[in-house]
Amino acid sequence: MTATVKKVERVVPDLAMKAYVPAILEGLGVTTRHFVQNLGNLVSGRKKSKRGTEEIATIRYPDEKREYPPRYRGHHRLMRREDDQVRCVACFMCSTACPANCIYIEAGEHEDPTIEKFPVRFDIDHLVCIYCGMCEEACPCDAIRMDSGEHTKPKYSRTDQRVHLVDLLERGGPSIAKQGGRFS
Amino acid sequence: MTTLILYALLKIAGFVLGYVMLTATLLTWIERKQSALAQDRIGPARASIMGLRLGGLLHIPADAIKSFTKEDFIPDTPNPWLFKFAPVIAFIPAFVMFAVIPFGPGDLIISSASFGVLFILAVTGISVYGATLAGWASNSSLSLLGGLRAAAQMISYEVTMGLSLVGIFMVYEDVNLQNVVIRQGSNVLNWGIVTQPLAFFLFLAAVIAETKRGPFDVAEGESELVAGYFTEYSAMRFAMFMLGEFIAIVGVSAVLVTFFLGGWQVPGLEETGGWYTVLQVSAFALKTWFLCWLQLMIRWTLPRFRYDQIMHLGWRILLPLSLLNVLVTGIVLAIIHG
Amino acid sequence: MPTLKINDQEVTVEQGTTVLKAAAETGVEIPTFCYHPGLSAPANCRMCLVEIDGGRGPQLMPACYTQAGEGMDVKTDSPTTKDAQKSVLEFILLNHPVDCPICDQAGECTLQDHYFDYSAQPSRLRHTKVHKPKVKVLGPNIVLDAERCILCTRCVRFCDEVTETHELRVTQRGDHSEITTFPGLDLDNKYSLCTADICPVGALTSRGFRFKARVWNNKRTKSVCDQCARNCSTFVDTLRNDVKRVSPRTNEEVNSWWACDEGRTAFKKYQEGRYLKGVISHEGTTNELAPSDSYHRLGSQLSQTVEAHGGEAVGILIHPSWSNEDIFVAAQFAMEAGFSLYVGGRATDGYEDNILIRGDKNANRYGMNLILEAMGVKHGGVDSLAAAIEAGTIRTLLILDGEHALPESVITSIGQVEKVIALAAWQTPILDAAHVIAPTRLVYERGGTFVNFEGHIQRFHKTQMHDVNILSPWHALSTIARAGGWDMQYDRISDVFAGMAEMVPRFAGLAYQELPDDGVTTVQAASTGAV
Repeated sequence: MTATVKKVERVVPDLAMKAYVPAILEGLGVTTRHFVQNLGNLVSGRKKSKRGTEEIATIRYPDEKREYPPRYRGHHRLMRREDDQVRCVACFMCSTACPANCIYIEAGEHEDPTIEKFPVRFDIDHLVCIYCGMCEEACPCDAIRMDSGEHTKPKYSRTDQRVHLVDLLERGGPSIAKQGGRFS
Repeated sequence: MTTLILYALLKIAGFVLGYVMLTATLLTWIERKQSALAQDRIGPARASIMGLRLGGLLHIPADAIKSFTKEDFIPDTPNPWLFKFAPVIAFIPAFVMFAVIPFGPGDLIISSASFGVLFILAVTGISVYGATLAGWASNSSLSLLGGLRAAAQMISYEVTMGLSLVGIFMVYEDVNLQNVVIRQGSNVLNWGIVTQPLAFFLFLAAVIAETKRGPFDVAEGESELVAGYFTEYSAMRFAMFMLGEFIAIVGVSAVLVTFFLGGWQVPGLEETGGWYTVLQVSAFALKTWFLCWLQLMIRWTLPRFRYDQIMHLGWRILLPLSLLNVLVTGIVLAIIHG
Repeated sequence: MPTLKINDQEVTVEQGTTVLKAAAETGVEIPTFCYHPGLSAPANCRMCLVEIDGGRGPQLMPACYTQAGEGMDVKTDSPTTKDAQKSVLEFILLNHPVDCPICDQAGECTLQDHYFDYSAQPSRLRHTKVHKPKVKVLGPNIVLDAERCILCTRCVRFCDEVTETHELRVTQRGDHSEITTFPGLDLDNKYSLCTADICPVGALTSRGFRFKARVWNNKRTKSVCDQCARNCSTFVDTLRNDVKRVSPRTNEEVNSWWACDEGRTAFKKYQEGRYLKGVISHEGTTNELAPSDSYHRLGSQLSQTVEAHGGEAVGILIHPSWSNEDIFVAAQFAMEAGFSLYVGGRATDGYEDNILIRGDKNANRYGMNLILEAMGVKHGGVDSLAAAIEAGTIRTLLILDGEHALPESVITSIGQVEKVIALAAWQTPILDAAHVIAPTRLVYERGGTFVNFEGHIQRFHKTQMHDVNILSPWHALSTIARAGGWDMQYDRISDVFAGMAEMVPRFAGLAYQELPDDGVTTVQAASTGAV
C-alpha cells in the first residue's frame, strides 16, 4: 500500500498580507458587524436577526437550562421492577466493567427465591466515575441506567458525592424489559 | 486671582473628574458588554437590585463594592512599600496627561503649556514604572516577567510614538496642543489623519502597545503569566490598575483626536463662543468616545502577538516606517514651501 | 504398555490408563464435567466423548472411562468430536437457567468455560424450561439450586465414596431428575463443603460464601490450614483485605483434593475480638497502647522480673499451633533468658476420622517437638505449669496466643500469678487474667511453616494485612527480647528459618524461600515423638 500524498500549495504572503492592515480591517469588519447586529437585536428585543443567522449563543444558565441530548450519560439511576423493587440482582457486572472502580456493591439474599440476590448496598462515587457508560452496557437486566438527563451536581463534601442505593432508586422508574430474559 | 483658580478647578472637575472618570468607569462595563455582543454572547447581566438589571450596568457599583471589601493581600515581599506604591504610579500619569489636552476652543484647556507634546511623551513614559515596579515588588516570577515585558515593550514603542508625531509638528509647526488643533482648522482635509495618514496608524499602534492592551498585552498574558505584573494584586490595588488602564484608553483617544481628528473642531464650523463652544466640546467628547470604542473593538478582534513578533514589529517595521514618514514629510514640505 | 495415537501424536502409557489421562500426558485437554480424579468415573455427562478408532472404525467413546489400548487412534479435534461436544453442551444447557449474573459459580464455572470453548451457540429451545427447586437448603453449609444442576453426580459419588455417609441421591427421571437428600437426612457430614467445590456448576453453593463476593474479584493465596495436625493445603480467597473463603488446594501428599468444613470455616471465629492495639489492664481499667509500645512494655516487664527473681521466675506458655519459626524464636528466647517453658495448645482429643481430620487440633506439634528436642530445651505441660504456680516460683507468666484449651484448675491458678502478660491476636477467656496484652498477627496475616503429623513441612503465605506495626509472633518475640535487653537479631523470617535449619537436623538443607508449594516430607519414617 502506498501512502497517498497530497501536495499543498505553500502560501506565499504578498505585501497586503504582510502589512496585516487589510486583514485587520477585515476582522474589525466582522466583529463590528456582529456587534451592531446584536446591539440592534438587544435594543429592539428581537431574539433573531432578520436574516435569522446571527443569534446569541449563550443562555442564562441557572435561569434557563439547555436540554441534554437523549443519549447524554448523566446521573446514574437504578430501575425498578413492576412491584417497585430494585431490578438489580447484584451480579457485579457493572463494577467489574467499571474502568474507574467507582461502584461498590454488597449483595444480600432475598426472601423471594425467584429473586434470590439483590443489592444491600449500591454505592457509586461520582467523584471517581468517568461517565463512560460501561456499567449500562454491562448490565444484564436493564437495572442501571445513565439516562436521567441530569449532570452530577456539585456538593459541599466528598462523601456527599457517594450516591447510595436509595437515591439511585428514587431516580429510577419501571423498565419495560422483561426480568430474566425472553423465556422464563 | 481667586476666580482664575476657581475657573481652573472647575475645568479640572468638569473635564477630568466628570468626563474622563465617567468614561473610564463606563468603559469597564462597555468592554465586557461590547466584547460579548461582538462574540454573540450576552455579557454581564447577573447583578441586580430588586430584579432591576439595567443590562448589567449594575456591575459597576457591584465591582466597586467588591473592590473595597475584598482582602487587601500583600505577598511576602522585601518591598512592601513599592508593592503598595506601584498602582499609584500606574494610576496618576494616566490622569496627568489630560492637563495639556484642549477639550474646547480658547482657554478650555487645563494648562496651555507650550511644551504640551513633550509633556505627554514624558508622562506616558513614566506610566510604565507602575507595571515594572509592580512586577518587581510582587516577588513572583510571573509578575517579574510581566513587568519586564512591559518595560521592554514601552522602550520599543516609545521611539515610534515620538517619531510619528514629528511629522505632525513639521506640518503644524507647533508643539502646543491648542495651537495644533487650531491649525488643523474646521476643514477635514487639513486634519492630521489626512495630512499624516501613515503617522496616524503608526501612532495608533504605538499607543495601544503603550497601554499594554490587546493585541499587545503580553505583559498580562493570561495563558502564560496568570495575570502578568498584577498577578499578586487584589482588592482596590488591583482595581487601580484596571481603572488606570481604562483612563489611559481615554487619554490616548483624546491625544489621537487632538493630533489627527482635529481636536474639538467641528467640520465647517469656523466660529467659536457660546453655543458653538458647547457644540465643539461635544464634538471632542464624541470623537474620543469613538476612538475608545475602536480601541476596544481592536482588542476583541485581534489575537495576541507573540513577544518576538511585537519586538519585530516595533523595531523592524514601525520604526523604519516612522523615519520614512519624517523623511517624506520633509521632502513634501520642502517642495510646497519651495 | 499400550502405545496409542492422540491427535497423530504417539504416546505410550501404563496398562489401564484412561484415554483422558493419556491425552493429558501429551498435553491435550479433553473437556469433562462428571470426571473427578478423586472419584469413580461413571461417564454420565458425555462431555468427554472423543472419536476413537480402536480397530473397528472410528466411534465416539467417553475418554474418562475408556482404557487406552494398543494402536488406538484418538482424535480430540475432529469434526465428529467437535460436533459431539457441541451437541452434549446443547443438551446440558437445554434446561439450565443461565442465571450466571446471580450465580456464585460464575467465573469459576466449568459449564461457562466449556460453553465458550466448545459451543458458543444460542439456545434453540422455544418452550418453557423445566423448573425445579431454587434455594433448597441441603445442610448447614450447602444450598442447592436444582435448576442449575447438570446431574454429573460428583456430589453423590463424593458422599458415597469419600465420606461414605450416603446422604445424596438422584431422584426422578429424565429432565425432572434432581439431586436430593434421603428423607430425614441432612447433608451435614464433616466434608460437606467439598461438594460445593467439586460441583462443576453453581448447583451446590456454600451458604457461608454465598453472595459474599464475585470470585474474579478475590485475591487467591496459597496457605495451610492450622486447625488440626493434618495441615491441609488450602487456598485463601480475600477481598479488600478480608478473608472470604478457604478452599482445599490439591496436594496428594497431605489432603488430596479435600478439606474439612471446620478448618474451612475457622477464619470466621477470628473475625471478632481481634487485637489491633496493645491493652493494659490495671485495677479494673483498660487502656490502649500502640503495638510497638506494647512490645517494649512486655520486654521491660520480663527484664524486671528476671532482675528481681531470676529467669526461672518467668513462665512462658507456648502454643503448638504456632509456626516453626515462632516456636524456634520463643524457645531460643526462653533458653537465652532461662525462662521456664510450658506447652499449652488446643485440645488433643477432638474428633478424629480416617479421612483427614486429626484428633490433635494443633497444627505444628510435630514441628515443635522436633525443635524443642533438637535445642534441648527443658519443657513441661500445663500440669507442671499449674504446679509451679502453686509452688510460687512463677512471678511473671507470658502467654503466647490465647487459644489454649486449659483445664479449669489451671485457669484459676493462672489468675494467681503476680503478673500475667500475653502476646495474642484475638480475644479469648484466658486472656481476661492478663495485665498487658501485645497484639500479634493471625495465621492469615503472616507467613511461616508447619510440620504435619506425618512430618511433612509446608509453607503458608500472608493473605491479608491489617497493620504493619503489628508483628508476626517470631518478630514480636524478637522485638520484645531486644526491648528487654537480650540479644535477638531476627528481622527476616528466612533468617529465622536458616537459623532453625542449622540447629534442627530434620530441617537441614531446607531454605524458606525455596520450599515448594506442596511442601516437603522431612522424614523417612515416623520415628520421632509425634503425638
